[in-house]
Amino acid sequence: MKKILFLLFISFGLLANAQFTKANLRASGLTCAMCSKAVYKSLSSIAFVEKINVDIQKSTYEIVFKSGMGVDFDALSRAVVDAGFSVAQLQVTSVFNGVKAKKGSQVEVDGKMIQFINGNDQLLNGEKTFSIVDKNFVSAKEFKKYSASAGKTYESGFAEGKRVYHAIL
Amino acid sequence: MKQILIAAGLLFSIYLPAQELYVFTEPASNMPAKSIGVKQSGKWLNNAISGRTESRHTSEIMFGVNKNLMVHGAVTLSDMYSNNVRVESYRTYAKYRFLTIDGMYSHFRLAAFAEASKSRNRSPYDELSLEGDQSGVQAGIIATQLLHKLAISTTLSMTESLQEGRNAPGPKLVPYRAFNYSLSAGYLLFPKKYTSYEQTNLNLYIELLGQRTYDKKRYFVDLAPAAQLIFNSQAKLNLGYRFQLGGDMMRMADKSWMLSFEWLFLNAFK
Repeated sequence: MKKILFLLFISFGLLANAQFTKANLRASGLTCAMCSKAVYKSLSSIAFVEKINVDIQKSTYEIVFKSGMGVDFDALSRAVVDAGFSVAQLQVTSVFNGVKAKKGSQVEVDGKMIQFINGNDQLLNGEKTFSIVDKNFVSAKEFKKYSASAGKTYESGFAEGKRVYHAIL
Repeated sequence: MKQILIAAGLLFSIYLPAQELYVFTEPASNMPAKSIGVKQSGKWLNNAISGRTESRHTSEIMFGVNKNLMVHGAVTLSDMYSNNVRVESYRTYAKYRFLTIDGMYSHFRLAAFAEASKSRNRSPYDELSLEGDQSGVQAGIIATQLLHKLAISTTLSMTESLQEGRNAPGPKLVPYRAFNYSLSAGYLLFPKKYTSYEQTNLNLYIELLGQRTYDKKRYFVDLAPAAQLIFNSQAKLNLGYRFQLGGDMMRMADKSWMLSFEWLFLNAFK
């Protein structure tokens, strides 16, 4: 029994090099509580969302993810946009297990392709937070600002037909 | 009559919050996608011609088709053209939001809308309205700017009345074509600071509503202050008073009261 558990433990370690645990989303285009509630309800209906703590005044939504399920960042953005508003910022917290981050190149993190567009080459371990800066995750002005340095996959958000997220540590 | 009340009651049994902003006009913003809203409004006035206090009741259902498109359907009942309250008109409305620029606590939006109504009334009045008075079509543009707690909106539109007599020879007894304009401002007065969705909100509005008719040239400019309570970030109660500032139209009344209640059902359909 102990051997089986040990093997399971090892395999989980090998399967997931990181796990997204939660995210802090800031929505723009709204002031009132009713609008905030529309965003809240829209985000709450997503399958991989465990719970959400809202700060109506700051227009922020602390989203806790269900463990064991994949996290789709585009679904979070879509939920806000479908409610009628926009994402100003999405900060994702992840527990890393030895991920090599190299500026300008893509790395797979918890099943998602991420390209870190800042910082030095580093080994990511433990709990770290990064911001997604793709279109529909930042304002139009910010998107333009990052376009200069984020590389050629930034405009489309795709590399060879696969979705790539661009992030800042 | 009874059937309509039962239908309205059934609609009310499904829950909420609302996205309509102004009391007398529509903002350029849209309802959340896949949401359904219901609204019941009452309008009361003293009819200058009949000398009675008359009322109009409108039941409206609204669908957020997607983030940019919403459609409404409404039925109106009134005793403004009859001795007793009766079903007088049906109308349909669609709004398409074609521009959104969002910032923190701010946005600029542009939308286009179109409306059509069928009324059984023969209005002898100069005022054109698809609220129940005439059959007709209307189309226009809405622009809305939100800046923290203040929302300002303007609407420009054209109305074509399809009432009988439109193509009759000779000078028109009533107008058939109008240009409408409005300028609305709304302010979030309470709460000063948001701590929960359960707080009751109070919004104050002031709207300038004008119309200018073409074939039989007449005009009016009205002012409409209003107050709105929002309960539980879900239900809206609106109270407004509309009165004429200036004009030369033959109108049913130059002032009226409006009371309405709205609910929105989020994630109502896939």
